[in-house]
Amino acid sequence: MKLTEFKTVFLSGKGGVGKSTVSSALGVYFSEKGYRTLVASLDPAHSLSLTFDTEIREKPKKIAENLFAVEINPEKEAQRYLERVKREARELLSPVVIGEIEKQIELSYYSPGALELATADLIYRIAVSEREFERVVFDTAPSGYTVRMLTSPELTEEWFKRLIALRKEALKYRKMAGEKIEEDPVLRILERRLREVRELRNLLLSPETLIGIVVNPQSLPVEIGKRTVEELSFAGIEVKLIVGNKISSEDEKELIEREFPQIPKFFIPAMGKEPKGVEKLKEIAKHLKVKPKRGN
Amino acid sequence: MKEWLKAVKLFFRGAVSDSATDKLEYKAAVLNDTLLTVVLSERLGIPNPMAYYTVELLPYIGNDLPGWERRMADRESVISRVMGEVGEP
Repeated sequence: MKLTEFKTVFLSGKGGVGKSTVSSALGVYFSEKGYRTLVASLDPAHSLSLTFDTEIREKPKKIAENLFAVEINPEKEAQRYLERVKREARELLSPVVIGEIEKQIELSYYSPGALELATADLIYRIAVSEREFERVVFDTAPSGYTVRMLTSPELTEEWFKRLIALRKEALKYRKMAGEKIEEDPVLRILERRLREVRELRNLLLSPETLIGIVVNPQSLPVEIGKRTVEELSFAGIEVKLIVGNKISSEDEKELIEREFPQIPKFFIPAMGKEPKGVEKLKEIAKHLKVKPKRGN
Repeated sequence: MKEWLKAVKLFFRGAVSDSATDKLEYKAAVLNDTLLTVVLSERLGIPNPMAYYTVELLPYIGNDLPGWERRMADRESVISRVMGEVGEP
């Protein structure tokens, strides 16, 4: 396995294992190899500002040569999106219904899966439609959340296809009844969503995408990591990398080797303090240069 | 006589094609109701994991909301609509 072959990286793992640190170090690694790289945090609890030791916002900020970082809150993304839908509703709908429709739009912020889908939208934009970087590293949110988010596109595809068929049939009847229909916005939206969902799934299944799990040598992070491997493989997604972070002995290395046979691994030794800033991250990045071995 | 024939022709065309148009419009309306039901399913107690995505359609199909609510709440009207389609006795 060669790390530089992967163009998009997602790191999963229990909260606090060091996803942001490892993502940032990976970013440093790619940028040192000469790739224009973006490290993106979509976790509401942002920590790239801490690892890079500089304030990072919603616009990519240059950290070092070839290295950029961005922090986007999915909650804010959802609010912006729903605001736009509300604006459209106010333009197009009759005053009789607008109050109720606006309420409905606001309610969907709390609907199950809303934040996962907002996160998926952000991933799509950063890694696919508006991609400006040769390498993109996502420091994603805790495992269960990540898993649901990553596996939903496959389920949604069929669902969108059916809605499109339904709408096409309705339009057919309306045309037969003599109505002139030029371009249908409903169909346009549904087809765009279907396309996005497909492209997102392709991204996740692409051989150029690396999905890795960060673990610490303790039972909880390891258990959660194992569950994520299982859940992802059930969804047809292969975990291609395990990063053992905060390792302080050979025994701890062996524990992780044993728990994740067959998956290539990197090990990052425990550092006294939390690594902050590019120089410290460069030290960690050195550990990523070791060619990861597959277990026995 | 010619005038009369024309009137008869017009009458039949009106009678036949109008009811055909009605039927087509009715079918389209039923399908539109189904779409609204999917988008607003949470109101009927059916969770919709895609609500965040489908809400984007509301500006374009939301004008029919009062009609949809009436039809969903008033089960009798479903039957009367069916009766309307097959033709009342």
